[in-house]
Amino acid sequence: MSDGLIKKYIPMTETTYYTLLALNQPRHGYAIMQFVSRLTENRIQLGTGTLYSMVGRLVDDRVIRILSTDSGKKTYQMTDLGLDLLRQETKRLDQQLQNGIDILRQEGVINGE
Amino acid sequence: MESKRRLKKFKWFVSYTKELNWLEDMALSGWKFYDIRFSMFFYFEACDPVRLLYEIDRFNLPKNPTLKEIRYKEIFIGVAEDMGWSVVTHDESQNYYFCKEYIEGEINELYNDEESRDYRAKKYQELFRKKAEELIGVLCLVGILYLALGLASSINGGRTPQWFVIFSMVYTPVVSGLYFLMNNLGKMYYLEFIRMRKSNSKDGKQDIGKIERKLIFTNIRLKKYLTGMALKGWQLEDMTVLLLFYAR
Repeated sequence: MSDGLIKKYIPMTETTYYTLLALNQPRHGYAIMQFVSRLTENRIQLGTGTLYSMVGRLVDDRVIRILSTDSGKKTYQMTDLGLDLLRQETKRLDQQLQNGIDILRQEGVINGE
Repeated sequence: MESKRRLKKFKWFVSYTKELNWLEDMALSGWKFYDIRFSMFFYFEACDPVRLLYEIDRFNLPKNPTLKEIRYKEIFIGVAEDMGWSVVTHDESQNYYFCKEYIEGEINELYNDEESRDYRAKKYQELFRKKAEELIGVLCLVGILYLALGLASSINGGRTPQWFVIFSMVYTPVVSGLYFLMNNLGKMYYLEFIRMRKSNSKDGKQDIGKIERKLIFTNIRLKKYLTGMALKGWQLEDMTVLLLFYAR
């Protein structure tokens, strides 16, 4: 994977992250939006404009690919490259989250076991 | 088959928000928009009164678009259709009109967050910036012609032809004026698109803010004027030499 791509996608925007999660399976635009809304309990509402500019960019960078164009409906799915980016970003987020929890726990801001 | 009643209306809009709201009102009163010519002749066909939402967008494709650029447009239209928007028509300057029935609880706008609104707004600003740039190109050409003609006639011992002097004296200010107009329009449309949102206002229509044309020379006057506007509930968002943009 090129350094340019890593620089461009890591850290990843929240919407891109969730879109990639949705495209673990083949989905079309509306299904991506529904999946993300359900997963985030309606916190993230992907609109047409957001989806389109993101999908166009992701297809260009071969992070996702267009699966079928029959019946006029385009379905998208994450490529191996996309999966790799998602894995790296999840690892980064995990560290970030862990660091946050550790520090806040020491300060007593949050409590946990 | 019974042919549908049709209606042709002539109307010219500067503001896209007003235009789109008008189309929405027409659908509410039973006229469905289906075509546009020369950006001012609107064609409607009779329909049952329904709340249809209209949006406008463009792709800024060059004259000879690359495959990648065509694919972008296809992806856009595909995604829009997935989300319930259909392309109604497009006008001669490639503005695409999208339409969707209003459904409670759905995302009833094409661009529903700050980031994507900025994306569309920039497309329109870019369009006018390009137009302005073309004008500057023409202006430079006239300037070069002027110099060349002057040089040629001074070599021959004569004077620059009178008609050309007059032509450039008229032409230059007109084109310069157009250049500033294009830049101002670009900025105006940028701000208009940034503000286009359905969810924020009470009656479900977009709050378009306010644009005033004023030329103020002194700082003290400007201060007084702005304070007055603020008291009326308008806050300055942006300004150019002649235009002042307000938000409530």
